[in-house]
Amino acid sequence: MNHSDLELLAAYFDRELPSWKRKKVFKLIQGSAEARARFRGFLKDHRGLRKLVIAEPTGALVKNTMARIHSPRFLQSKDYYSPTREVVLNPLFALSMAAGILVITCGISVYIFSSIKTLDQEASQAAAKNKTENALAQTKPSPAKEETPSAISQENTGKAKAEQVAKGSGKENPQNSLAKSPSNTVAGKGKSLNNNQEELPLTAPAMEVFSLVRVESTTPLVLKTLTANENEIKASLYSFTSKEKEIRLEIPAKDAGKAMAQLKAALAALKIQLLSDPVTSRRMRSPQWKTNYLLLVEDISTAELIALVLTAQTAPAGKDKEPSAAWDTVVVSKITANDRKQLKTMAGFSPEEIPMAPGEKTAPGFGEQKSKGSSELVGRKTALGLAYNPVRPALNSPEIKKFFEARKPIQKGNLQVLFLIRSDL
Amino acid sequence: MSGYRVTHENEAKLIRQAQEGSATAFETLVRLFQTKVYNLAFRFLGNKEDAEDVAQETFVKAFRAIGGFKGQSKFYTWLFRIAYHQTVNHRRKKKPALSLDLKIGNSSSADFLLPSYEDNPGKRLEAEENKAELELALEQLPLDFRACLLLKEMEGLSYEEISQAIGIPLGTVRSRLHRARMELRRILEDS
Repeated sequence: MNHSDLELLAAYFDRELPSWKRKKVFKLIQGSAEARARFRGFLKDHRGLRKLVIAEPTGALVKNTMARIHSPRFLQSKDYYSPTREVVLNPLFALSMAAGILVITCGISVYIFSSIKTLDQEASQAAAKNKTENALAQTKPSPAKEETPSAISQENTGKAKAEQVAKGSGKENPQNSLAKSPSNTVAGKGKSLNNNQEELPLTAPAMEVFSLVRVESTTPLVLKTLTANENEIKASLYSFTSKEKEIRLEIPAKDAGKAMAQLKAALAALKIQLLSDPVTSRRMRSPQWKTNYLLLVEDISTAELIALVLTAQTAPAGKDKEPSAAWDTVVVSKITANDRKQLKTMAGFSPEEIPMAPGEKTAPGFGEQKSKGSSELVGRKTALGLAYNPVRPALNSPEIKKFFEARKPIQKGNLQVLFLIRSDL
Repeated sequence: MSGYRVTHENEAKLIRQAQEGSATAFETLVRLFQTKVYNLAFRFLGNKEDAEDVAQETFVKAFRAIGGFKGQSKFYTWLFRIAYHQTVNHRRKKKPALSLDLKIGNSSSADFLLPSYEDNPGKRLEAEENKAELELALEQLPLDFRACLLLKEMEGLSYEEISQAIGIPLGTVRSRLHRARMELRRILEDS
């Protein structure tokens, strides 16, 4: 029997062994005479120890204890016992703690010292470099002094520094003295560096960085289509589309399939044909599957967009179905570069690959595809609807190809609209 | 022990009252646990006076610290922990003294409540000898081993309770118990 077997046997004896380990002990006891002997030994000792006399305290124990507790000295004492305190009061513990604190303090000091030293060196190097550059710029004969921005900034830096030095010391202009001094030459450059190591680099106002820059961006618009006034919605959309022509409409809907079907009906009312692949159609018919859809509509006017937004939510979701709102909120924002990138990943093209107005530069391959356009879609506006989550559309599906072939340049003032209909889980 | 019948509910009640500062409730707790604490100290130290000192000190410290008892372990496990630390401290402070209280055949001691063997004096003598041998062997065990063995065999604590009482990991309890048994058996076989 090895040590592990003996430990197992002892644990079994103490009833502290999990059931899955007991089988091993049973086998051990059955198969080994030594194990049986050990077990009998444990049993014998256990019985012996249980029979040992229990020492009874004298009656004075309770009396003395309570007398101590009631004594004024005890009651005044704020001291209390805790096993942790016993450990903390151990001299070895205190010693190791002190050593630990000393090591940490030393480490922090060394780190701070080295950091300060490095910063100091960098600052002095930069100051020396700046001064040398100024000196070289002034001593260099310039036949035609061009006022480039860098030259101006260097000059400004030199002037500012000179002014500061003059103010501080009350001596003559360092520009003059610099021209006279031996350090002004290239040979004296090393000396100059050493002499001015403690000076900090100076900057002129023209060298200011992190300046404020005006950024043009349109704040997203949240339309409560179910509760808001129709005129307010129209006004908001007109205002938004006057600034942006690439619109992204995000629609959270409880039943995205129903919302998609309503949009399809509304598109049909505007004589726009929706192209969708079989997977999308199947998902639209199955409301139990939560699906997110995208819908790309191009070359529509703001009035058409308003009609789409307002009528789609109350359009019947199918034949013989009562109209009911599938969504109540629409978030209007600009199509971002990221949206285009993701659309390209899923549909194989980006909305920007189409000219915004006639006569503008045509996207590569656009003309050829246009000429090969599907005869059935000639003269008709199309929209592309795809289910993108949890299913991804097939990249080269016939519907995508058809849509891409039927695309036309967007008329000036018209919009490119990307609807994102998300299942509101 | 007093005739007070201890249940989980009234023990908890007494502890709560003692935490609120009731000396009477604490006195009842002392009466309830004095034998266990004293016996443990006696087995550790082998001396009645020292055992009484340690038991007294244990209860005094327990009264001071009872406010911090959160009931995460059983009360007597918590008490044993204090008693164990007190014993270790006491042994450290005091030079080891030869015990005169536990001697082979010390049957005249009033503390010993031996079973009756009047019908068979031979058997009685043998049993007494065995018991005395066991007590001597127990005294020879290192304190760590002895603590584990006594808490397990005499007090019937589980490995987890022993772990909490002595403040060592569960694996160490198992290992120490095993080694204590091996050592005890070796001493008994040698004698």
